[in-house]
Amino acid sequence: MLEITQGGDRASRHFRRDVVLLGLAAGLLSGCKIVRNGTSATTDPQKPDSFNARAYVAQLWTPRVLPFFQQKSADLATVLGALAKNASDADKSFGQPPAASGGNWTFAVKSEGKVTAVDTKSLHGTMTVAVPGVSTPVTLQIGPVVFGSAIRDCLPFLAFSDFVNQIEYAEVARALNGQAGAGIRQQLDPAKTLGRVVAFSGAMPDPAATGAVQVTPVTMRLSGGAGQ
Amino acid sequence: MRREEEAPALGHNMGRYKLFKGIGIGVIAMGVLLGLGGAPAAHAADKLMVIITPSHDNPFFATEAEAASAKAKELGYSVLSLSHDDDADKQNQMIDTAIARKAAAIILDNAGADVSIAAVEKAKAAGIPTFLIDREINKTGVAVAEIVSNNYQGATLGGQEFAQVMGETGNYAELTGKASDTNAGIRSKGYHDVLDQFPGLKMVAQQSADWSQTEAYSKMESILQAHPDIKGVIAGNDTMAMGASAALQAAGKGNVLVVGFDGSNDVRDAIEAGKIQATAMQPAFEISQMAVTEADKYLKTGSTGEPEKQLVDCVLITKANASKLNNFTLSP
Repeated sequence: MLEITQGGDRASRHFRRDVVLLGLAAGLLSGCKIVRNGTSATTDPQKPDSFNARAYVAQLWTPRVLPFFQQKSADLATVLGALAKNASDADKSFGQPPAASGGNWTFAVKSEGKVTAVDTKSLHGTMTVAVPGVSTPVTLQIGPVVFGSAIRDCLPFLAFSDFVNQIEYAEVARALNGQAGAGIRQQLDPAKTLGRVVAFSGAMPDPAATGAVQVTPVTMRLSGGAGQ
Repeated sequence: MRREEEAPALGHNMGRYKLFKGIGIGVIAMGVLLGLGGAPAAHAADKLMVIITPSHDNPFFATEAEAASAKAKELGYSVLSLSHDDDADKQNQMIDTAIARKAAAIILDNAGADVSIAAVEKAKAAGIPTFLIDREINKTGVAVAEIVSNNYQGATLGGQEFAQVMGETGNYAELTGKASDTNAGIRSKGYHDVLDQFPGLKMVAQQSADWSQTEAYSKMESILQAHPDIKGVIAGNDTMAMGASAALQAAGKGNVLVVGFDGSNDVRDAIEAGKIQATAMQPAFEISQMAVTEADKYLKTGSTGEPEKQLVDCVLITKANASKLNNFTLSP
């Protein structure tokens, strides 16, 4: 046993030992991916599973998800240019391969541009941004209802095989969308951004698959002005 | 002890030598016989693939069986194609048949995510690898591969399209599938996880039509009587969507919006005619052939080269791409 646990009466020795052990355990666990395999506790999809996707995502968000987008997002105009030039090279340089057969590549992108339109009438709200160097308008999903699983599909450290079934895998996508939306709303009110410049990072499904440049934002802030 | 190395009189040890020689030849002969009996050089045509799906009355499962059979025969296997009719007991009997027939591999679209675990384990214990298609079981490490349609993702696509064509408001009805089929619940959950986010969308009726076209027709009729102002219907599969659509047309309510699930040729035609708005296509043909190809590779090399769980996405079919759809395959 470590030196620190020597000395003092038995109770305090054990206490210090336990603290050291817990500290070690916490240190190990914080870097670990929680993997779920084996028999599911319940199979009726109408009944809640024992898996809490929101909690799972919440503990991943700050240590792994945000840093991934902060560090690994590539400039949007650069990615689009590369895709136009040689799609398969661009896929490998910038993209995450499809999680499922028949799916699309997804790209972590970042950029900045002026907000030219905001639709908050639809619950599936969108924001249109004009990005310099990009000829097509860029559409950002601002929620509250967010479609798709782009954020999940962008992350190299999440795989279908980590989860018991497709429902859990899908719930993680929803939880990621929800976590992203909550974070963005702390930075700004999308409804009030018309005409302002926003800087964002997020997940973009391959435009060749969607037919448009669509980004599910993970971070967003007003650029060069006080936040709202 | 070095006694044997001494030079004994030849006669004394000759007997022992002959004995050992006899045993040695016997051992070699046994080895040859055993080797021939178990040689992997046996022709693939002697190898049997057993393909088990739900009833072929549904074109989806018929396509799975046909696609798998075709690929298996192409690779030199003989094929036995069976239907368990979504009955776990029948499925068990078919697994027993495969075991008795010493099948090389089983391709299975299973009769329930929990009830099928034991069946697949039994086959595994008998030395027969199972390759699951379309539906998962709730335990890993039992089947060699689970090539599953992403039913939840497909339902999400259908739900999103339904929300959009409904303009995010209005009363709608839902027809759910057979309660014993896990996919019925998965799709309904997928739909509701989208639609319930829109307070303007109100589900006024939800009934099971058991995947049946005729049942969906009569359920739709009675729903219309109770809720004549209905704006849309979302169905758990295409056969029910067809039944609902027919009832709506007969009642002069052709403007009611309909969304299904599977990607059948019938619904493709209805989408092109404007009677149904969308469906989510499951790539039945592709996943069945993938399973057979992987089974063949597994038998030849001991590995599929893929992870156990493989997800194959569904594709949204609307008027924009319906013309490219045929037999659960989307052409580029």
